[in-house]
Amino acid sequence: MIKSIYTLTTVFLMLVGLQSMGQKQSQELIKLNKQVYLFEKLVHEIKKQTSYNFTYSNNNKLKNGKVSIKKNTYSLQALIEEIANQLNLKYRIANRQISFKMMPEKKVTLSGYIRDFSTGEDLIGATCFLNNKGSGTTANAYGFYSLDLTPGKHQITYSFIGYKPQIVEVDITSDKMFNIKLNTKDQQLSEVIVKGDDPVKNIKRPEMSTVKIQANTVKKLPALMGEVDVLKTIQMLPGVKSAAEGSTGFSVRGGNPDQNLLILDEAPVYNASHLLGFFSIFNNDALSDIKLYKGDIPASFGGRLSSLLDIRMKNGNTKKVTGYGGIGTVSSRLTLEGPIGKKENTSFIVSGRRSYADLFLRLSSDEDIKDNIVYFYDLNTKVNHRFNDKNRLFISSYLGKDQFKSDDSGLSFGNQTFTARWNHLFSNKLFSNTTLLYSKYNYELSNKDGAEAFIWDSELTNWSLKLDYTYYLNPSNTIKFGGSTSYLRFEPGYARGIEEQSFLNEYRVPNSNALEHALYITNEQKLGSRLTLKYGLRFSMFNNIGDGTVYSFDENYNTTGVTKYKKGKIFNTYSNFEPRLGLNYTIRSNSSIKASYARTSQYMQLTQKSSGGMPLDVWFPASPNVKPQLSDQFAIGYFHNLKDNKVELSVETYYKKMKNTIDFKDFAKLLLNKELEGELRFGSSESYGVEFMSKFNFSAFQGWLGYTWSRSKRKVNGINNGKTYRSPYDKPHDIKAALSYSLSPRTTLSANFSYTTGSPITLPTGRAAYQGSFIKIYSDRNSYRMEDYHRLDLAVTIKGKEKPNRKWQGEWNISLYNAYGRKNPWYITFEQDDNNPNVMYAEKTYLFTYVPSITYNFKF
Amino acid sequence: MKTVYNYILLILLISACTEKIDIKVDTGEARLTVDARITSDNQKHFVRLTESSEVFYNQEAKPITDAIVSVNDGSRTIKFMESSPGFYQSETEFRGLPGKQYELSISNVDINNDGTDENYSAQAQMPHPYSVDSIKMHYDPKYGYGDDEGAYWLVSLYMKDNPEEDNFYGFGCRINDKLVTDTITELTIAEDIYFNGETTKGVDVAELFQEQKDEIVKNNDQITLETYSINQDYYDFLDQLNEMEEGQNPVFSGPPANISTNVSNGAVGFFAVYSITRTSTIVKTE
Repeated sequence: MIKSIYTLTTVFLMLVGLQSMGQKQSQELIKLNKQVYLFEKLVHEIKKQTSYNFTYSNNNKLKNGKVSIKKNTYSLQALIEEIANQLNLKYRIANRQISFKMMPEKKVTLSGYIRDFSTGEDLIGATCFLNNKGSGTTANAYGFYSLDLTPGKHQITYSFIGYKPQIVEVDITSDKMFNIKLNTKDQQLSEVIVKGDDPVKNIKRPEMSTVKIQANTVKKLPALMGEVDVLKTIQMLPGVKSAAEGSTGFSVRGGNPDQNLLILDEAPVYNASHLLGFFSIFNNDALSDIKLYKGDIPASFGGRLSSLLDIRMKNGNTKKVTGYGGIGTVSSRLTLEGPIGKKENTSFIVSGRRSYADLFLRLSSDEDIKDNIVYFYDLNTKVNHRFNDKNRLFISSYLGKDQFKSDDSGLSFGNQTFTARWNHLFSNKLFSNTTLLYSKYNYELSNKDGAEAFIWDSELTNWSLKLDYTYYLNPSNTIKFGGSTSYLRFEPGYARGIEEQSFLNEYRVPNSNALEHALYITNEQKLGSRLTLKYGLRFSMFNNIGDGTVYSFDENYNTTGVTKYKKGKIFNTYSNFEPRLGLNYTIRSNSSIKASYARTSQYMQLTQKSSGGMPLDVWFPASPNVKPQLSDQFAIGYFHNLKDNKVELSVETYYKKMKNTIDFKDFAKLLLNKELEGELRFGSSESYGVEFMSKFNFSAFQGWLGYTWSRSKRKVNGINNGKTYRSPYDKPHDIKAALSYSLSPRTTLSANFSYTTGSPITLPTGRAAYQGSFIKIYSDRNSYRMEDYHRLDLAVTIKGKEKPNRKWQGEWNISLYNAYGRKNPWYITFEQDDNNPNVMYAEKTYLFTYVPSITYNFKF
Repeated sequence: MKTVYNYILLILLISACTEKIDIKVDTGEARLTVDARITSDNQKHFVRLTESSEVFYNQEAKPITDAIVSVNDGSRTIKFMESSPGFYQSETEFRGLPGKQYELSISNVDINNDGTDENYSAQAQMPHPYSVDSIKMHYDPKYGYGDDEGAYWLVSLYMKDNPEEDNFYGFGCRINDKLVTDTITELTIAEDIYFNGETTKGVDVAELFQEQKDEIVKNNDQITLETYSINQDYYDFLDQLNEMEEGQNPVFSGPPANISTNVSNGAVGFFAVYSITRTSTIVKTE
């Protein structure tokens, strides 16, 4: 102790001494007769006039640094200080020796928003790039970017796919907010040519297994009955498989459809299908940006094993009120968007869609059909307000429903979501977003006829709060952290007879409640110019809380007891650490290697027995009987760009191991069953594959071509005698192409092609006669395949002539789904011949051969 | 679920087509098929034994002859004699008694031709019969779905379900004593999970399709409803048999699987033991 005090005192005295010596030395004078000196020359001059000695680093930048100074006579102290100031140096004068040290470069932060010039929309994932440094950053989900720079002049390129890049010269001395607006390519403005590395390209991004799709791309591709659908478009990507013919359900890298997290403006969507899943609830007109993560899911998201589909709604035009819409064969759409007030600070969008197949049904001569009502609608609304550059509020909602009614029965189902988000900048380096969201899926089924009259309803609701922060520490490190907490209420089914006439009594599947929490932190770190690492950790926790009812089962899945828990009591908890790692090594300016590892967990799943799913399927939570599903995915890929990044090639290979896989026992009863958990069987599954992708982004020719080879298998106790079997989505070969070509500025041709190995199927290998019918004796589960699936769709889009004085712009889209009329089996049945009961034959049911459609889209 | 089917049919009406296809499937090993029934009727009961075949075998199932078949009711063994190939009839007439456990034994069968005979057995208890209050007939000119849509005579049931126990029902129908529900999948089946302890309030339990020859109802016909009191195992078997008929539809059904049986040793089929309650009414169509 004494010793350290002594040392401190000595140091202090030495410092004081230095100071006084310095003052004495400063009496010496130097006369200068030039206005600009190179550092080295100036030092030489001082040495000559004062005989002081100098030490400094042998650095050309320092030696050639220019010092501007007036012709005058200076004290040594003042002159040294001036030099240090101008060249950003530290100095020390001791024993007639002056030493200079270069100070670490001072950084200032340039931050702001990147937006669309004409609509004011945020450009998610747009890039800003320092032309002389070869480094840059991308805008986050709210269009915000933050870039650390050395003070001085910089040339910065802002760019985004489909937009004209803009080069901006900035002279920056202190932290600065700079918002930029980019123009779309088809607006005729002066051409800007960008040179050098553009970080937008896939090569440099430290993420893999992701695909970003613009709502505009979705619009160009042929669609079933002309109904453009993002969920159908993503099924055209390698690694993504359709769950069933025509279905919006999809399987990512061998996972189940319920292992995909679909979020619309952050709110999870629990059933994204309309009309038996042939159409999705996402009205393309209301969307701006869609990103699919097939793996490498960011630590900020979790709760599903296989994928994340992040769908963002448009914010609304901040410049002027515009409208657009379309009239199609299935539905009509209308969207209005524009500013509220004059300051461009507030804007709104309202987008609606309604099907009108029922209007045709009403024209039918068949009485049965005529009395039926069947329709769906969607309504997306969003308002956002910018209080200032530091605070912005977004409020968005989705409301959609399917309605089916006949004279005595009805079915309705739909989603509701609500999201309020507040973007706040604590500083130009710390961006935050606070989200409050609500999401609900419910259905109601009823029959008013006779003694069997009943109502049956089911509901799932979710309230969540999320906090997300991005800290732009320095150009080499971007740290993201945050957390979320959700309350989930499951009301799986409540059925009761209605009115006096009904003989059915009340049946309620017990409701359950759960909390789901998560904390995460992740850093993206650049190490040198070639290597970027991404490492993060997500901690997730799940609680079952009362009121709740838990059945217990013996080893044969027979119910042995029931336990009830009081409201608010946490009676079961699961938690998991989920590491997420990524690496990107740039080999050359146009090629890189990427690798990733992600662990994901899933605490709720769907009672989806069939491959395609149906509206009555319900979500059920993890519980004392149902362990959370876990997945570990490893992926490695090689990325190579050609033709000035206009062609992006990639090959990725992955291996995924999943634990606590859930499948359902044979002839499982999953709906309106209090003892649902007794119908579940548990095991493990694995999937692996290779995905080849080539993406074209020429001005006239755009789209992609992909090939996937993949396998997906399960092994579940109590199913298939415990032997390994193919997952329903195990379709090894898969070729997908989605291409569009602009014949002229007004005419675009597009085509989709897909080929996949036939879906796995279980077929009878024998039959036994039983009282006039046959008992079929089946093969092992999924040991056969349907015939291979292939299909070509074509479309042509013709834009009306643009006239300068006319606001109205029209566009015709004519499409032909399944252009060569392939009869792809939807399912296969074995039927007993009506005329000869001893004869059985196989019959396939197929959907959609040659489905033409015509859609008129307009803008005003 | 009717509503859902209705909805789905309506949507698919627009776009679904069917076509016969050729499909190659392997042939599994032959298995003994048992169709055995003991009811509360006082009669000669029978057992039918056949061999399972490949799916596209286009003849009557091969009978299993020369088997030794018997049923034991706990106090005596009743022998079943082969009356025609594959058909075995009880030597004497008897009535199955509620609460009694019956055991079926089959031997002297070598289904896999390995030179060693196999033994098969099955047990089932006869449930107590239901008491039906009454039935009523009513006519619906527009009923059913798809190919089966048309005019129907429907049989309404009036009875009370026993609230104390889990009950399983089967319903068959006779017109002037002729059984019209002669194919197993024509039976209506129900479990009381959604109506335990309720009165049935005239729910329709049998459907007579007026476009099907053997189901046409004429004035003054006697309609007899057969209410079967079945046990849970047999109910599950029938329920699975119905589900299997639907095939693997990507909207509702998962992969099909082998249906349950109460016969041992890898046989298929069922040893059904049930009691029958008959309720009749005369139809007035005019």
